Amino acid sequence: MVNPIRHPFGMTRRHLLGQIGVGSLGMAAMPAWADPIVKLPLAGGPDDRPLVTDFPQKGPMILQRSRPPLLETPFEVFDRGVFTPNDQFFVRWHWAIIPTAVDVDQFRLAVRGHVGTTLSLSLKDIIEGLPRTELAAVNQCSGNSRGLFQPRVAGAQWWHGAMGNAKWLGVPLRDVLDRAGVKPGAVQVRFKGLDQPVVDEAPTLMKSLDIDHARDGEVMIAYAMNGEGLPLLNGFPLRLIVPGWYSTYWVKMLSDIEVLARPDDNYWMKTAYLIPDTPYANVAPGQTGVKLVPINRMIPRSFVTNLKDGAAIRAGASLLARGIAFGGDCGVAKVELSSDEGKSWRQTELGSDEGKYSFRRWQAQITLAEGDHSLMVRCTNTEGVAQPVAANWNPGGFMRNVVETTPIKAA
Amino acid sequence: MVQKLFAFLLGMALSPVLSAYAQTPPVLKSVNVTLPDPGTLFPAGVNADAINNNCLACHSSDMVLNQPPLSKAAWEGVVHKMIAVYKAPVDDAMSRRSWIISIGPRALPENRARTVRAISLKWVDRAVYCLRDARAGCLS
Repeated sequence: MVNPIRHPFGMTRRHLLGQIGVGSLGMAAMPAWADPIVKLPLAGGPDDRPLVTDFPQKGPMILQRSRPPLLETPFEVFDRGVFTPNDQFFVRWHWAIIPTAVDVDQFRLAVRGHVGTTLSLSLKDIIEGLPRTELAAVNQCSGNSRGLFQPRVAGAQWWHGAMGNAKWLGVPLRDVLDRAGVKPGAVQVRFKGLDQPVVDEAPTLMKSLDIDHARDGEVMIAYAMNGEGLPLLNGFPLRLIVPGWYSTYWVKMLSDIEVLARPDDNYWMKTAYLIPDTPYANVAPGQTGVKLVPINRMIPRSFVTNLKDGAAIRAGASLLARGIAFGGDCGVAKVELSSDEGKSWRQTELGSDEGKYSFRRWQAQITLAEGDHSLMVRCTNTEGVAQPVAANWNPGGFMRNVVETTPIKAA
Repeated sequence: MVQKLFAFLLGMALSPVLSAYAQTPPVLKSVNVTLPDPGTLFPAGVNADAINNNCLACHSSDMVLNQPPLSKAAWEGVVHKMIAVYKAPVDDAMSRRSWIISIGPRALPENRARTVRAISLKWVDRAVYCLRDARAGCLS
């Protein structure tokens, strides 16, 4: 299948590779320009990141890496509502060859492999010819908040902004698979996008779901996000949505669906994105002999969004504390707040329910005496899983979900 | 009849598929965008050319410069993964490890662009630590 894509600079991968050394020499002469700097509270640093506005279809974003882009959502965005605007939704790419142009008339999605009929679907086929479904779901990077791991681990050094919540509109994957006709004996479905590694021999990003999961009616192929087409950097024109699961499965620029009659053993399933098969994926640093499994369902998290670390408030005055929570792979049952280092907890008031996979608002009135305080917020999901008070740790820096603490000062 | 109509309307309201069809999809338009220039070189230092020529093909320098202080073993693990799994086109003539370990996020005024500028001079201490740890060409 040929897709109408254009590579950066119109180059092939080999060409790009051959040129980069020369090209990089020119970069030293580039003028410096003044991007505002954001300080992320990452112990041990580096904690400075530029706030940039020059990525297409994106507003102000925290620059974690220019190429391939890693863009973090500034945290104040999460205080504005439960839905994250498309132009400030986080961005994470693995490989640097990202098509910069997509022709909506020429684009095709292949459905092939262990199926009765191989399909090549146009966007028109998908949008006008198949059922539509919409749901709100949190999309969170496996390594969100990795920069807070202690001891620190290598990888994208995110604070809390590698997550977002949107209303996704698209076709249930089940309907697409049914149209192709899944043959008996299918065990997994593998997904691939249009992005490619710079080096030919490097493993193309592919992720797989078990066949029953893929056909659960919730996993979908989205063509709209918060009522609009997806920004290119968030996966235009099609993105796989896997509600309740980490973002690594939410394949962007989805172009290829392959039904497999054997378990997928590609690098991105067998070797990368593995977690300890323990509660909260938690192990001690240096611990060995732990069974590893592919990362999968999300676990609950919650945040204070209207008070920054170190915020000064008036002692003895009533104050509204508020934030967001999500249950992970199910809904939010309750969100509790503590202002005495976790000795006592009080229930907060929950905002409207946008669906079990969505962010949910919480709020509580608090009054604090003069002095230093720590606000702690804890979500318990509808399966009864609560955020732990001690931080989970694993070598990949995945799945942080400890009760977060916001130090504030009342005076 | 009224009951049947009521049941039908209730069914409409409860059916996720029927109600979902009420959602109007946006009209998708072709896109053609330009990604910003990937930015800066690594800070000047021993073997900086090697890092610039071997690493920047796959990722910009900020990925490295934003890493926390890591042990020599941790850096070796990263570099090994880049070479063995991600097939990083590393020049065989170069030492494959010393220059990664030796790089420390240090901002040099003549080489600053948006990312390096974000790393302030306070990281010089770490570069010195790297030098000691790596026992290889490093910033000094």
